[in-house]
Amino acid sequence: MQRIDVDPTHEYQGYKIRPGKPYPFGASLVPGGVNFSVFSRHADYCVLVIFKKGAAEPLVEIPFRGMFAKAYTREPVWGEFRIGNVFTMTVLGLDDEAIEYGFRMDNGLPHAQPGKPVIHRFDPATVLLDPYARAIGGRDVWGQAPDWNARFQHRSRIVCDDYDWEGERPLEIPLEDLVIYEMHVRGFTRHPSSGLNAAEAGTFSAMREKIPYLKELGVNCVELMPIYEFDEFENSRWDEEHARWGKMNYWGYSTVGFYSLKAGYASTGRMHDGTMVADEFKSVVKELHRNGIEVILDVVFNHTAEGNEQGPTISYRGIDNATYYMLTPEGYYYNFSGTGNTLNCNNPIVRDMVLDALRYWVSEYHIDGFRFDLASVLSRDPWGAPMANPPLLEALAFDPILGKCKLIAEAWDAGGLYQVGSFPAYGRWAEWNGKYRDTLRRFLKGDPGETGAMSQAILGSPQSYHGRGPTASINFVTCHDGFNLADLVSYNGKHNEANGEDNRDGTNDNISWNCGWEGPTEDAGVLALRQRQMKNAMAMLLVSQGVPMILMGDEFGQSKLGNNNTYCLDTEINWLDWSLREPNRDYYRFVRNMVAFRRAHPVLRGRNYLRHADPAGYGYSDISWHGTQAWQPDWGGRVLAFMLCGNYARDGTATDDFIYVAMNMYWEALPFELPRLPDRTRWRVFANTGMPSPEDAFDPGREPEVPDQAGCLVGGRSVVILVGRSAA
Amino acid sequence: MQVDIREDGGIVFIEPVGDIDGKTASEFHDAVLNLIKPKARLVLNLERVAFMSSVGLRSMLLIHRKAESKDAKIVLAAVNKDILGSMSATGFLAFFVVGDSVQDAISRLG
Repeated sequence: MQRIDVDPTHEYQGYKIRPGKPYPFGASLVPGGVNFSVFSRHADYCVLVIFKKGAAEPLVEIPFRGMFAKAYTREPVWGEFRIGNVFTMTVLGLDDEAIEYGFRMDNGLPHAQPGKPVIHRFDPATVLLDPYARAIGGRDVWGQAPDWNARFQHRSRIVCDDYDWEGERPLEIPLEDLVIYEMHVRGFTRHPSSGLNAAEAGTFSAMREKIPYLKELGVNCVELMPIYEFDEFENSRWDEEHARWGKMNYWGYSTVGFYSLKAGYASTGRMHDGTMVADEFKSVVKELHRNGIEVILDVVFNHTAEGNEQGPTISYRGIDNATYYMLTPEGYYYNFSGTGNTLNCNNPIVRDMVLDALRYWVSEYHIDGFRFDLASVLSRDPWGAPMANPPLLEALAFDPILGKCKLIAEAWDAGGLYQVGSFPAYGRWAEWNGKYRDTLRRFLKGDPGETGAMSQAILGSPQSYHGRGPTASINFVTCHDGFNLADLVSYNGKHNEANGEDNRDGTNDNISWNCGWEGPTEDAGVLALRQRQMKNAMAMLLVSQGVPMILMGDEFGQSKLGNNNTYCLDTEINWLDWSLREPNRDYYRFVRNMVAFRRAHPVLRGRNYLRHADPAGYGYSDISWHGTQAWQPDWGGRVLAFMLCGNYARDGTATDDFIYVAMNMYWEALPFELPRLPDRTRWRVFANTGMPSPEDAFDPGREPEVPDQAGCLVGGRSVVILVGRSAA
Repeated sequence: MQVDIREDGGIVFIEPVGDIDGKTASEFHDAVLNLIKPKARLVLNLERVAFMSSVGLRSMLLIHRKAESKDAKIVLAAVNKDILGSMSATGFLAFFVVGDSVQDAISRLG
């Protein structure tokens, strides 16, 4: 039986329409046509503007209120297609893949002047992007300059959500078992050394080609820097000297549309087909999942690409400025994001938009989790004050569709809120642990008196996350912001001149040490120390309780030449240089073996905190602290050792080896007394960063016995990792 | 849309002419579906298809599914570089056997 709502009720300039369904928002394929639905509380007039793909002038502009022809009889008839604050109509018989659309809105008030503060910014001369657009045209091929004179730059497209997942679904790997790899989609394969052809390099499909590499490295989760549609030309600058874009919005932390993929990341972007772009990314997710690798998206809900009073009107501010943004009483944009505006996340409308978007990514793209950029903004009320119980964060934590996905906060913002350890978690949220990063960096460079803080870091920061468990802590030494690992051990200060801001941008708080020479050097001693320090950092990161995150490129020791804020550079500095893998194969092997070691040892991956206790009476507590003398930690120096008892792996539900880690960040070698093991159990050496490859890290499971079971010498600024296992 | 069909030596040769997109895909797919009989052997020659949209890709997938359900075998031939690129990037290519030419496709039919 055919549905009875597939026939038109009205006609407008030959287009057959009928009243729409307000939900879901955006453009949805329905039997016989496309349903359009857009919210505005303050607009009283709205027009649907439909374009042939890429055309400058519209095919038709259909008002949501006015005179229409009655379908079939053609009699003039008044029509209004609105329910509450939602304008909605279904247009029948559209070739949905051949069109783009937008809206015009107005409310009869004087129009905003550029640069002037005002509460409402309606301007019917502007065609607005649908905030719920599932695909966006206008920046289809990365770096292909648009027609700057075109009035409609970011053009909503329709996506057919019928991908064939072939039974694949989100992996739901326990958070404590993740090893996260933070990466930039374009940067991963853009470098000519990736071996991908030019048409494919830097795209989603190229990333799919490199999945075997990720598997080999051993990570089981990729965290993708923003892949929502953004404008790489935002604040761009052409470099005459090198005949290329000297400055671009390369990282993409400036969202144009929250429901849409960055089309320029798709090799199929050139086809101008939103569904194809979606298919391409889904095929990457499917293949990652088939290889046991989860996908976390870095999402930017704290602000949009519309900037401040001077910024362009793309969508939200022309649709309902007062709803979507935090405004001062005069109509200035609050700037808690440091980028010009602040999304009004705890307004119920905006809250729903965020929630709907995340649900969409989980259900349509099978995304496994999200990392929220400047997430503390999401805890502010519409006037900017931090809330104890922010409705958005609570809603995300308890949402049924997001029920199994990872929620990770960057628990600070640019307005001075720093919530590491105090982010409203609702038993769900994990945090980028900035304190872990800082502690590890201080300890690594040999600051005295960091051992107490370091022991907290090793435990998963229980003082910060009391009651939440180690999985609340996403541990990292480096991330896209700040120095990467090679630069952390090669530079004392930032060198950001390439960003064109006279080295003013980027943090000065790097907690880095150049190992004796600033920047590139031929000095073999300095180079060896740097490599050892990188290994030390990786070793400490991967034996800490919590969830480790590795930054793309750090596995090869790739440098960014001391630039700690490469957000604007679409150049080799940001592209993973695959040719570095071979000359750095020893170091790469160390990283790979450290990842494998972590994944082989459940005692490193507790869901609950270790308690420094031995409730089952094994004679060894779950974790014990040591110094150069066994059982006697020195809480004031530069030396820390600890031992894990494998019987307590996973709260005693799993069996594992003993693991002993000695970290000597003093500059000279020190003898360490080893804790005595039970009878027939012997210490074997897995890693010693003081040794040359391949003796710096053995293959997990094939570790040789330590000659002297009572003690070992740990080199200056070195880490030794032993496993205690019964003789075979 | 024009879809040329001929049968030769127990193989059905199908040759659509023109773009396969939102305007033409259902016509194309209806024409092909009718030819997928149990255990049929088909060569789908895309030499004269310059462009295939996401709707076109979907029509191909439906053809593949029908062939699978009928234990029929279908091989694509002479697919242009752009279409091959789209099929590969979106993962649709994994469902198909592709021959460089009609002759190659015949040999891949087995």
